[in-house]
Amino acid sequence: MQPIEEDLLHLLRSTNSRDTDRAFRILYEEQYPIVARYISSRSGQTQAADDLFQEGLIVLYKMARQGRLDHVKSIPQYLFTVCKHFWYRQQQQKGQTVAIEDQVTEIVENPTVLSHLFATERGQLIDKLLQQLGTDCKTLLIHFYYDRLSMKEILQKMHYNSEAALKNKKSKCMKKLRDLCEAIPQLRNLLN
Amino acid sequence: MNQPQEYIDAYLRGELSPEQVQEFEQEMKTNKELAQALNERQKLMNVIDLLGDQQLQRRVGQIAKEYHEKGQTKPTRLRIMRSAWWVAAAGIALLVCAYFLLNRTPPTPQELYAANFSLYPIEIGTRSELNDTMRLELEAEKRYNSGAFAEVLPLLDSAAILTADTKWQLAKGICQMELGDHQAAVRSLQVLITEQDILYEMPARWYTALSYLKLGDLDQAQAQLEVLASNSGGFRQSEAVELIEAVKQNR
Repeated sequence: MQPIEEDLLHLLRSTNSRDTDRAFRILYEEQYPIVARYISSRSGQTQAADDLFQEGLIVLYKMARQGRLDHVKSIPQYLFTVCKHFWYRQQQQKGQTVAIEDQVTEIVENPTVLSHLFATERGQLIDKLLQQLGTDCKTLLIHFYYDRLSMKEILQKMHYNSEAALKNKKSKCMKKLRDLCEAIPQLRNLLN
Repeated sequence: MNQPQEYIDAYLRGELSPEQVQEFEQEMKTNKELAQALNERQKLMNVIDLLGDQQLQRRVGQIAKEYHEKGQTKPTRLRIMRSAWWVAAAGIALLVCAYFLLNRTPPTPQELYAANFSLYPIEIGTRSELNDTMRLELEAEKRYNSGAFAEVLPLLDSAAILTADTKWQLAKGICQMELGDHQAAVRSLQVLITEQDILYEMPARWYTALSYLKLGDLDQAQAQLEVLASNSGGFRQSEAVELIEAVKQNR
């Protein structure tokens, strides 16, 4: 892995959101024009490229946090591959024929959850859930399960007295989340 | 296992040692409550994933907005223009188009790579009887076509699969390209070129040329493309001719 790749991986895995934002900015500068040109050369709109690129960045972030980019030699190129897969999948969903040699049957990262996320109805439900969950619980659960931070790292960010207090809070937050999901019929489906 | 929730979290976050994973999975087979708790935790994590996605999407959206506001590339938006401005706007658009036609910069090697790279189709078809190598080939085909390129490479370490069909040598190079290891890709593809493989020499030259583009070695890229371009009616002949012109513009 080249130094710039190590830097990017380091930034994507950082506990500081300013670092991850910096990685996103670097990738936008370096890779977005390439993705946009690729999609426009296949009669796609620039807006479509923008949406796909943003989804690609989110997938990249999650994979980096889960340690799934360790084997990847070039992060910008991997991002391009992810965006390309999203593009083909989208074209296939629209019923458009894709040349056989360009066909990719399955994406590395299943985007089903993401594609639902951007639907208005789902977005409203998530907003409602976030509102009822409260800022502390939301931040704690996202840091632990989504950003994959350790309890020690979260402790530095959230200013709890001890790891034990933080663990206790996490258990309460998980219970609250479960109760909220049970109470909102559309969200109950996510648990079944 | 005194604190099952913590153990479940550690299991889901991939923090357990292989021995602990084995122990945990063994325990789950007999402990229904544990299996149920794991199942519930996974579902709640899916919900948290949605919350995290939404939060991250807002941050990424903000970065996208900043990027476009800097004026590098504007996203396409439909705008309703008032009729009074239409003629003036069309005139300006014509001037802008003329400017870009006269001053357009050639695509960079990186952009040429992106515009020309596409996966070579690997299909091995169905077979009635399978030996070990065929099973390996089926698995490699499945992973290749699902985009799991890093998982294909260990399967191709087997000498049996590489000698069974030389297309796997090509697939190896392409997987390395997809993973961004172009030096390794060039080495893998060179095997087919040196051996003048009857089926895959030309595809190997095409992908080698693309890898050289990515590595910024325009001379080597052009040398491979010249061979393809001189092969009348052959693999990617017309694309090679066009790509040579584009490479020349980069010099």
